[in-house]
Amino acid sequence: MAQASAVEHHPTSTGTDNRKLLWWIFLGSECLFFGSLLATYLIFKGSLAIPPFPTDRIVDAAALVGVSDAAREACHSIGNNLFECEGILDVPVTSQSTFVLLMSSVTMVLAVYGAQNNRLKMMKLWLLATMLLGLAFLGYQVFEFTTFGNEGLNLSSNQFGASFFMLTGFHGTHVAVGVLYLGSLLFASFRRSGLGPEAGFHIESAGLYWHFVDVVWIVLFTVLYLIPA
Amino acid sequence: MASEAEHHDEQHGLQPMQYIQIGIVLTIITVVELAASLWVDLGDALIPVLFVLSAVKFGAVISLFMHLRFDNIVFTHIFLVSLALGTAVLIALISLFWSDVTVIEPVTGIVGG
Repeated sequence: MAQASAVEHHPTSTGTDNRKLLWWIFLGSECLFFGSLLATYLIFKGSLAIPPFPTDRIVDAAALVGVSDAAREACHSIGNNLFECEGILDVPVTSQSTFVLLMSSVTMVLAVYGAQNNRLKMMKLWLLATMLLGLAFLGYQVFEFTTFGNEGLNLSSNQFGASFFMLTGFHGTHVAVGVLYLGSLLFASFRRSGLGPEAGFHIESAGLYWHFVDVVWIVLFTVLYLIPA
Repeated sequence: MASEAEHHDEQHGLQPMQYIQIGIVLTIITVVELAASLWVDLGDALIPVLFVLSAVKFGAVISLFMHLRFDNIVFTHIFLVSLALGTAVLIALISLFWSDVTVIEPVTGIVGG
């Protein structure tokens, strides 16, 4: 069986394909990027005074001065000048989007398998499935952001809003870039020459990026949504 | 030809059915995470349990889906060093700013009004 991935790369001192090495270095730099954003979120999460809050919280009446009507509506009096504000995060809905992204990793690895074993129909099918799952994840994120906006949370409402939207927004941007990347590969695969003799490498590279976006979300889902305040 | 294919699978990954099985295991772990967070009271053990489960998922994806287990060890080193640096940056930033963050007090009046 002829195998697309069997195409030999240029001899290098490390014994690896330099292009693949570059991909891993790029993904390594992304660890620092998301590490910094996550640190910012965690620092600000510990100092919130103004609603909306990520999880349920009791605040003084003074905390409600100057906040939007939508944010104030989520808080109800419990006596003694105190108010209980409902948390804004919807964990069950985000769990669904997490499942969607996890499944996209499975479809992506199947696309890589297809490309590396010259099973082009299999590659195209799973590439398309990965794109659709990526789009579904983005749909969930648009839904979440819109809901939060309606409940009074935006980039400038408080520190939670600023750091949360920065972190999840950048992750969503990575997913969107990934969908475009996969789309361009899928489009190219329908040309007469297909993806050429290095189809395996191209799809594997896209796969590395896509799986990295997935592992970042594994961390974000745990830290942002599952760990309570 | 069969031995060539076997050799290739050994070098570059698993069979499709094995990838699907890993996906099912990852889904089960996510459901367990959700249950631990929302429906089961684990007390102080909750955060360590969530971190362990998250680390298992993380490890499965990078080693099996990203093929680090089957690829050149150089890639593993690059990624683990970067991951350690990213974690160090996270810890350093939190250590530097955690206690210094000024809690923004809610507005209670208009100065000079």
